[in-house]
Amino acid sequence: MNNVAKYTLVLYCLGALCGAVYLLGSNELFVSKVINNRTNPIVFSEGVAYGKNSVNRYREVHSILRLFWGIHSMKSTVLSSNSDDKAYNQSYSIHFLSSNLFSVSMSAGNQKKRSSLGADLSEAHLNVYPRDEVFQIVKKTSALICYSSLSTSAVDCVQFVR
Amino acid sequence: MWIFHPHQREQLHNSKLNVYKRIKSTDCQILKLLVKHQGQLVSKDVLNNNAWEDRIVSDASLTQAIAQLRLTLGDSGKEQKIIKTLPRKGYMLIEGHVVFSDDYEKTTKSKTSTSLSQNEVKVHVKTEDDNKTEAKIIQNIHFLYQLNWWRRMNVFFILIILLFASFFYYRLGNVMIQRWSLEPNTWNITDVGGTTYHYDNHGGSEILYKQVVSKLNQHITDLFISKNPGQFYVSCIYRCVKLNEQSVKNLSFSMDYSFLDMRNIINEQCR
Repeated sequence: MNNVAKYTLVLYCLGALCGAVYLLGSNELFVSKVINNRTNPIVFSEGVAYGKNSVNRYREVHSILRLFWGIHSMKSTVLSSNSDDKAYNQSYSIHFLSSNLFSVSMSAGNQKKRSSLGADLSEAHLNVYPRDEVFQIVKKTSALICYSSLSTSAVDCVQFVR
Repeated sequence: MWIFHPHQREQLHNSKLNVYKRIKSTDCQILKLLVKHQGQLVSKDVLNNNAWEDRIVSDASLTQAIAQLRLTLGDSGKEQKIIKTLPRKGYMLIEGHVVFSDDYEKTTKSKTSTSLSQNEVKVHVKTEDDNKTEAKIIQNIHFLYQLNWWRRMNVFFILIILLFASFFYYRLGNVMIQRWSLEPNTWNITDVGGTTYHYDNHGGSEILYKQVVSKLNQHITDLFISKNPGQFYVSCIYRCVKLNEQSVKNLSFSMDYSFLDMRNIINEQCR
């Protein structure tokens, strides 16, 4: 391997290392601000979706888990009145972009079944065709967080269970 | 003057300085050829073929071996007083600097005569030195296999590192795009009658706000209203009558619901 190739490789890896440090560092910096210094918090919310011919009540529990190297994942369980008391589980990876923005991307789960939850068409669409979604925090207290999706404009509030 | 004993452990002996020097087997093969043809040009191909036989080596290996031989013999690439480089052709050993030892000359001659006397039937009696040389060659082959394995492992590790690096670049790019290309929504906030209303910039959200303002139950402390073309979203933070503690509820309405219906539902659900 000649020297030019070696230096290019080293520079490429160094750039990636700096990028990784920036990503993980910024994530680490903002996560504590968003979740109020809690460790692996669990949040709860409940709601009702009023469709044209249906009313769907649902409850959601999300746990935000810190994985290795400061990466965070969110495990969600949704119980819906439309799903015969069967809970649907979903796993997301979550990244905190700033003190009032975070992005969520679906990583594993049963997304097709979740689409049956809703009277909300845009949510149903995103469940079937997942993509990175960015949320803006609208209100935050020590007990709850309200956020709005920048893709669908949907607003949601969640309470910290602990 | 150096005396060259190709079969001895320390192959080079300088009688004047009374020093013994040991050289590598490949260097020894090269020197053997150069001494045999001293005063003549020996091409790079011939040297390579004899020193490394079937192994594929780079040009740098021969250059390195010659440099090592020069160093051992007290010569240098700059002076070239013992081994001369003939550019793009090969190397030449200047006469009178290195000679084979008498023992080696005799062995070579006797071997030649034996082979001649036996009507060209080759007889090769293995000497202890031959065994040692063979063992050295086997050792070298093992070393080269190990070297090859290490090289492959190195390539594998480099690929893994590159994969990780590319993944981080991808993530970084994603985050940068999300962070700088998406503009956060502006929310309007008003405080009326002990309830804080938050609504986004959609005209529909403002209309819903105007329909519900001052007409909500006193348990609601915060109301969030947003809208997209298919749906109204309302979230409320309220003091739960039953449990006497703060609760939240998220509601979404299709466009089929009237503002009055929505207001009644909000009042019913958020208490």
